[in-house]
Amino acid sequence: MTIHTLLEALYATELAVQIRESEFAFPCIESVHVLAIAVVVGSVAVVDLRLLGWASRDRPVSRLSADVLPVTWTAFGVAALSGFLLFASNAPKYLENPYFRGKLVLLGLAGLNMLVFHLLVGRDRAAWDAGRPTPRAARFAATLSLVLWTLVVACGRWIGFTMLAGY
Amino acid sequence: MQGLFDRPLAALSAWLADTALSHLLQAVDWLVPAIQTLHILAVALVISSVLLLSLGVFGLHGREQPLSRTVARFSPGIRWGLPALLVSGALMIAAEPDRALPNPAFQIKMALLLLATGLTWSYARDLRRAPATAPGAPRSLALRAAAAVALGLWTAVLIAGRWIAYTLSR
Repeated sequence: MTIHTLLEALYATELAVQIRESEFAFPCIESVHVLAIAVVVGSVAVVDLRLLGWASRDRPVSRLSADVLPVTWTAFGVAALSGFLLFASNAPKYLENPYFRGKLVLLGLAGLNMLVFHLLVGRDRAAWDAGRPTPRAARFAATLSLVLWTLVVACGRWIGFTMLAGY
Repeated sequence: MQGLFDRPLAALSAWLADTALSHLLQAVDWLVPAIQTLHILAVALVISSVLLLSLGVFGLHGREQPLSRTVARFSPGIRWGLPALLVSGALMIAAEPDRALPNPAFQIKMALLLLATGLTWSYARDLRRAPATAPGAPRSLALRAAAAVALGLWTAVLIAGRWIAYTLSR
């Protein structure tokens, strides 16, 4: 089964038809998607800004992360699910869209950045958790994260303009 | 009520659409999506700060510190995010005044924005002025209700914003 027959099958599902043909389903799901992405990006930025030493300096990185990350992960789950529903409404066309592909790649890179940070930079976190400045590698990871998430949002907006669903 | 503002709004819209700024924003085709991207980033900062502030008020994090510390931690995100929202939003209106000004979703959004800002500002001010609030002290029902309503209002602002694209008066 190639990816295209799979996408065509998804396109033909009852769920996809419902989202595509209802006047309200798409904007409703899209509103949830934007809300969830806003919470993902904003809460990630809270931790990034702490790593850069620009905000929340009175709270150890580990404490702030523990406050914020459950919010981030919950919102990410909602964003992924609502995003999948939007994608399902017109899967073959979305996959052709360069900004959609770019967004997926950038999401992967943002995840990879987070993973590398946790495994390598975060290993000796106890040494700099409550202090400042944070290590150069942590500040680099934070900057990269802010850039990648900004580009994710930009790609999302450009998908809207190039798909001409609602812009 | 609506009828009362129809004509002045239409006049403002027509004037805005003919300014040099509007022409520029229309002529360069990547400008509007770029400004919308900045607008969403500012939305992200504000809504996340409001959400984390509310969760602090509900006692879901930061319980070992006075609540005034949680307010101090998350209000800069609102204070810096709001002007960015207003500037990017104003540019989006300048680019396509007819898309926004006469649009009911936009008008509802502005009313909700005033309520959300007012309520958030007022309860955060009360919290800052009560630094004696001990760590882990019970949060009053009124305070938790204010935080919950404010969070709901901000969510409604965001949703109304997305619906502007779907309620164009053609």
